[in-house]
Amino acid sequence: MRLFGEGFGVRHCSTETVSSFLDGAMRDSEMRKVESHLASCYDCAQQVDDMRAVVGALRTLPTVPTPRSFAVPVPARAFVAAPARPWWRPAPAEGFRAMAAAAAIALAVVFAGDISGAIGTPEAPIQLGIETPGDFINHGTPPGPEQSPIVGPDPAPEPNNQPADTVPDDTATTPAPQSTLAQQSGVRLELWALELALLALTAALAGISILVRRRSLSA
Amino acid sequence: MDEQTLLLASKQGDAGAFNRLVEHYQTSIYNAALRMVGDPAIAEDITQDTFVSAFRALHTFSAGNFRAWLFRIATNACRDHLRSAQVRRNTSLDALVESPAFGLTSEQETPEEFAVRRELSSFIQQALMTLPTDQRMVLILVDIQAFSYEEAARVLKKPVGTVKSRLSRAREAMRAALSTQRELLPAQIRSG
Ligand SMILES: [Zn+2]
Repeated sequence: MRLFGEGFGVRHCSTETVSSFLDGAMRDSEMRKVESHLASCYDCAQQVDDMRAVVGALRTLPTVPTPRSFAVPVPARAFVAAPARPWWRPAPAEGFRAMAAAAAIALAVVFAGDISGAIGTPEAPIQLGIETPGDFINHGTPPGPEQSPIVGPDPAPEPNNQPADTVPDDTATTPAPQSTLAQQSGVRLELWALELALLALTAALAGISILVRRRSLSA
Repeated sequence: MDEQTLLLASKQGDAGAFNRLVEHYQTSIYNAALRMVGDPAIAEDITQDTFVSAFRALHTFSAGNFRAWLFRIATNACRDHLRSAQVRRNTSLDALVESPAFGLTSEQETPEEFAVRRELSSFIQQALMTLPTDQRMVLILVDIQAFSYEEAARVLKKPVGTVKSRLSRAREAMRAALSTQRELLPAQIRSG
């Protein structure tokens, strides 16, 4: 660093020398040289005084209180966008949850068929007080897979409000195809075993979906 | 907890630990940004952006001076803002006359003393805004935030020599600007 700038005959302190001198940011030998010059040069001494006043004014500027806290939101993962997942490849927890729901629906369907006597033997022990055969056969018909209970009634204004729009009319008076097949083949459906298996499957799938979801949250 | 412990926890995603660091640094970051851009609302945005970016990028901070690293993010944000606002700024220098005297409160002062200090603070802010961005940054870091030359050099990623020369030019420009307002400088500062 050049301590003194060019002048006519006398070499005065450069701006950088004055600035560093104020901070004591130079070697001791350089400090002494500047000091001895300042002792004999009014202009440079004045420059040092002026710059010291400026630095002093800057250092005494008031600290402004912050208008608010700048804390980041506490659940840090709010910043990490969840990776987009195609609909055909749902999260594992969702997949298991869907399977559990399907098993529960199947269980409900089989159970409904069981208690109404539509599936299995005609002489089913539980009749639940239903007397008109046409009625209970109609309601006992196992709905197709697209007629799951959560779908609800068809919103189309049908004057004859029967869920018969997907089922041919003759099924209302004849037994369901599966039951006829079961009866014709002579295979006796062990419904209680099927229901128990579906119940166990539903519980297992629901349990797995909860476990998977918990693990994915804590990961 | 010390800074190293808080940093370690923050790096593992502990926002609570990181917010302890935010608490510690937010006033100095906000004040530096305020002096840098001269607008409280923009300084607020820059401060928030600084901490959010810092938390996201914490894995890139290996070790060393966290304060310098944080101020580097803040000064970059200020530079980005000033660059985008340059056209507007050049055409609205008159608005700087209305520059506010940030953070002044009149405790234990006569109304006259308060008025003078308020005018000085406002004038300093106006003078700061006329400095080139790089000089203003060095001046704010060293003379307002009390950074050493070495720490300022780390923030700006420039050699210490560059910091020294920029600082001296900034101080000289401030001296020239304030020399017309010597009566505003407090007596104890004026006499040195
Ligand atoms: Zn001289």
